[in-house]
Amino acid sequence: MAKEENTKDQVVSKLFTPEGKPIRVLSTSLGIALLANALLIPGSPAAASGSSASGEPQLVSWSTDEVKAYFDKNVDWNIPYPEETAEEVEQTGQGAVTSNGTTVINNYGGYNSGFGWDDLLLYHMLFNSGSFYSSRGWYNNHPGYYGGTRTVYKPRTYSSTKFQNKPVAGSVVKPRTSTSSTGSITRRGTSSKAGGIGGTSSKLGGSKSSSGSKSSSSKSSFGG
Amino acid sequence: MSTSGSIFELRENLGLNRAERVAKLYELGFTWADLEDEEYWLDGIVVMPAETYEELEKASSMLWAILDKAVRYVHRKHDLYDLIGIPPILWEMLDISELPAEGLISRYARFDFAIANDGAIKLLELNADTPTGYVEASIATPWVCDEAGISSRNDRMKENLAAAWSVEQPDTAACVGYGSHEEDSGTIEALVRHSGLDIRCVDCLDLWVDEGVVKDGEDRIIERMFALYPKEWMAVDEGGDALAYAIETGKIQLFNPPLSILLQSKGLLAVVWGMYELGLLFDEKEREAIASYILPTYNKPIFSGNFVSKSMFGREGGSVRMFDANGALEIEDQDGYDSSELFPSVYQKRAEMALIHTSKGDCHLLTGMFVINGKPCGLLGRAGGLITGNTSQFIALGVR
Repeated sequence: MAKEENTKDQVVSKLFTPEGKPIRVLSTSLGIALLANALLIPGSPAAASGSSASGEPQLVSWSTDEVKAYFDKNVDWNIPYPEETAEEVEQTGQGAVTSNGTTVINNYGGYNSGFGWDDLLLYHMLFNSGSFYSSRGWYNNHPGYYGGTRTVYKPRTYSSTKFQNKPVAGSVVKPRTSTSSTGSITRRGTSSKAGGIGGTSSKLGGSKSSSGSKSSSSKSSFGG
Repeated sequence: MSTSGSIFELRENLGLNRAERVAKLYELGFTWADLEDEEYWLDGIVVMPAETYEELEKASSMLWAILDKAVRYVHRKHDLYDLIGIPPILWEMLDISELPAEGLISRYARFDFAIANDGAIKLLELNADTPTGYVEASIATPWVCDEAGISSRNDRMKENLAAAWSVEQPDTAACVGYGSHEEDSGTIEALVRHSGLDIRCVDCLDLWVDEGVVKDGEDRIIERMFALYPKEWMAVDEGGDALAYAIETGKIQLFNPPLSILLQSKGLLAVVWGMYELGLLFDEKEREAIASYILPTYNKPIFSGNFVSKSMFGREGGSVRMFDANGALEIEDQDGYDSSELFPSVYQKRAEMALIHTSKGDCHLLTGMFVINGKPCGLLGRAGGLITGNTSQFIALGVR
C-alpha cells in the first residue's frame, strides 16, 4: 500500500516542470488520455490501488458535514440487486454508490431538491424504454391542434431516408456531426462488387489510379 | 561534385549514358526510372560515412522496439485508437488480433529519417503498412553502388523478405492498378520474385467480396493476401465493410496484418513522446533513444518554435504543412492528397535534412531505412524539397 502510494506520488511529481508548470503533453487530449490510462487501468505502469484494505465502506474526502453526520458504515450502501427486493429498503431520498469500498453519497449539493440529470435519465429510460427521443412518440399521448382550428397537429414524419441523429445500419443517410459536414456512416456489408476495394480511395490521391489519367500516375508515393 | 560542410558526399554520374542505364534498370525490374518527361531516378550516389550508417542501424533497432512497445500499450484501448486516428471500421479486427512476437507486428516496413548535414538523426515517420521504394532499395541501389565501386548495405533485403514471406505464406499479392500502375505493380512483382514463392498478382480493383469470401477477377478464392492497400482506406472505400468483415471472420488473412496500422499511424509517435514526457512505460535506455531520435510530437499544435503538421495517415507528403518560428504557415504540400480532411493531424517539431548540391539545383535528402522481418536492412535515398512529396526523386545511398 505504502509502496503503491509512493508510485503514485512519483507519477504526480513528474507531471510538473521544475518551475511548477504542468508538462507540455498535458495540454493535449492525448496526453490526458495516456495519463488516465496509466493511472486508472489495473496493472498498468502507474496504476495505484484505490480501495482500502478492509473493504469497509468509507466516505470520500469531499463529503459535506451533513453527509458525514448521516453516514453509518454499518449500513449497506450497495444498491440492492433485483432478486433481493423482497425486503423493504428505506427511502432516504438520497442516492449512494459503493465501489471498491468507497461510498459516495449524493445529496445534490445540499439543496435537497432531489432531482438531477441522473433522475431525468432514469425517467427517460423508464418511459422511453431506453430508445432515443422521438417527437412522434410524444404526440401520440399529447395531441396538439393547429392554431384556431380543430385540425389535429400531425408532427413531421422522419424516416431513415431523410434524417437520422445516429448512425443506422443499412441507411444511406449520413448523420451530420459537429466536425464533419458529411459525417460517418455505419454500414455493415458482407459483400462487395469489383472496384469496391480501392475504387474510391485511389481517386482521392489522383496518383494511384488504374486509368493513368494523371501524368505522373505511374509513380506514386513510397506508399507511406 | 561533393557536398561541402556535410557528412554526405554526392557522386553524380554525369558522363554516363542515361538511356542505356535506364534500360538496364528496366531489365532488372525498376521500370519507372524515367516517366514520360520526368527523371524520377537521379543517377548518382549519396555516400554516408560508415559510423553514421552504424548509428542509423542501431537507432532503427531501438526505435523499432520502442514503437513495438507502444503498440502493445495502445492495443485494445479504444480511447487511444480514437485519438491516434484509427478509423472505427478497423477497431474490431484490431481487438481480436493477438499480438505477435516482439518486433514482428509488421514484417515489411520503412522508417523515414531526417539526417542533418552534421549527422544528427531524427525520425520523421514509420511506414509500417504499405511502404514502397522496395525496388529502388533492393534492386536499383545495389546495382548503382556496385557499378561505381561503392559499398551498399542493402544486400540482405531479399533474404529477409524471403524469410518473412516464408512465414506469412501469401497466396496472392495485390495493388491498385496492377499492370498499369508501374511503381506499385513493379513493387509487388519484385516482392513476389524475391520471396521465391508461387504467388499470383492481382489488381485490387478486380477484387470482390462474396459474403465475406474475397475473390479475384476470375472468381478464385483468396485466403492469404499481401496487399499494397492502405488499411485506413477501408473507411472510405465502398467495399471496406465487406473486406473488414472478411478479415474479422478469418476468411482472409491480410499482410501486413491489421495491427500494423497501429504502427503506421503517426499518432503513435505522439503516444511515444507523451509517455516519454510523462515518464511512463519506457526504461532508461529507451528514454535515451527517444530523446536522441524522436521529435517532440503532439496531437495539438502547442509548440513555441517551428513545427510541421501532417495527417496521421498522410502519404506522399500530402497534407504536410510547415510552420515557422512564429507559428505562421510557411509552406504546404501541393501535390499529394490532403488526407487531413479525413484523419486527425499530428504536430511535430521540425527537423533539419541535409542539403545536397546537384548539378540541377539543391535538394533535401530524406533517408529511408527498411525494416524487414524485424531487421533494419536497406537504405532508400530521396531528394526533394523541404517536403519530400510526390515529385521527389530517388537517389542511391551508399556507405564508405
